[in-house]
Amino acid sequence: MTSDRVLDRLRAVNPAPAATLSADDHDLFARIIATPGDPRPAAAAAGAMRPRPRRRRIGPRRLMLIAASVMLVCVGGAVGAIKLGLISASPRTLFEANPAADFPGAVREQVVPKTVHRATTFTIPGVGRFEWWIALSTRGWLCEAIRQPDGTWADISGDKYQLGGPVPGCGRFPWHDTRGFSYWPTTIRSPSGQTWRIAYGYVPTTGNPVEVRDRISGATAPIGDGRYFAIVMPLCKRSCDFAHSMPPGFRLQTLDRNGRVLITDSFDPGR
Amino acid sequence: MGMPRETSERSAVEVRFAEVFGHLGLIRAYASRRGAHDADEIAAEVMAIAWRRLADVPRDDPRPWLIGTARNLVLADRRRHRMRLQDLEGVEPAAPSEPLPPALELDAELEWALASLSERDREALLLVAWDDLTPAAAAASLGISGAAFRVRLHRARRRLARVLESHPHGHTLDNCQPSWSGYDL
Repeated sequence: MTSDRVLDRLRAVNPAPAATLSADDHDLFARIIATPGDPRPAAAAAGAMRPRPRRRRIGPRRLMLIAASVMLVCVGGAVGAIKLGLISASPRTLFEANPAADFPGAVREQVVPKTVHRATTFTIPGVGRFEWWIALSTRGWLCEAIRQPDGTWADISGDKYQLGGPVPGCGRFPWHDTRGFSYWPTTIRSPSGQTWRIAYGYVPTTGNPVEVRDRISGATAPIGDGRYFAIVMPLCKRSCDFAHSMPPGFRLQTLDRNGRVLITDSFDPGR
Repeated sequence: MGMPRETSERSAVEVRFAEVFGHLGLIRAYASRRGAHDADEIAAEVMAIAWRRLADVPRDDPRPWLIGTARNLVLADRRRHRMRLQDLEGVEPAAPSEPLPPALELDAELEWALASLSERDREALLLVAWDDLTPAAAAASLGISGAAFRVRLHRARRRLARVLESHPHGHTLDNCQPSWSGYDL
């Protein structure tokens, strides 16, 4: 038998061909979309739906408006400069500017000063140590930012690691599951070509956890403040073009000081 | 973040998810063929994960992402199943074990030949033959390069052909029990 015929023979005996959707499947669809979804596509859609300003002919009567526009441009430039100035700002200044909430309707946040602190750190081999800073705003939102090894804040301007997620700014976490886990996953590639997956967020406090472990890779990370963590997990050893679209492939669990598993994340495969 | 969702934005996201959800049958079939104990549950969980991580699902072809997620879930399902069996055996040796997933109905010769392949080779073959993925999509679902997958697929086809040629009708499941149930991944 030639190797070409092997595939034909296998195709001919496919034991479970894909079936079309049924009424039950439509119910499943309705049940899924009734749950909290990924906030990122909605935020992107909001940006795409901003109305474009209509182009108008400039007449003599609008000369005054042009002058006013010039002033606005100057103000805008100043705002941009302020934003760039945030790249090495103090955590409180950064949180109050709330740069990640740079979309229509966003407001500056009032930060509770005593809540500003470094939640935890994580180290990417070959890249350096990152710090995850957090605070609470007066309306109870969680403000967060990641300080990079060179002392600048991630995702401000010309970000070289492209951490993504909600930093730096204030808001609610996108969801937390019924077991109390809530985190953002992202990736960083080290100079050696290794891609690392980072998940940072908070865990349920039940049982006084001291450590988070990825059950798949075995990676661990300490828990700061009783609930905040940032765990680094190996993702791809060589070129990994699908780093951002890979399936989750990790499963977090909290451990107590004796190494006993307390609670396992319900989000990830393996629930 | 933290902004209330407008209805129109929500609708756009739901339309996008509906395109992904259209592959539910494919994922259910994939889980079934790989020996999942409850293929419906695996497929539903894959879609729930896709909904929660919709921004991570590739727009052009979500199938590799969905199949990769399903693979993780099936593997976890197997681990749970094995642990449950070990627990049962540890506590009460005489306890009857939970029935294994129903065997797929293949002719014995082909089933034996597939069982003789490594997990990697078998998965490469089945992604193309049964899941109808292109080599590029199959590579994406495994997280490897297209070139690496094509090499793996070529070798797998050659090995399977060699096994079928060398043992045309000499083995059946009765006299050569493979060490797997369903298809390991």
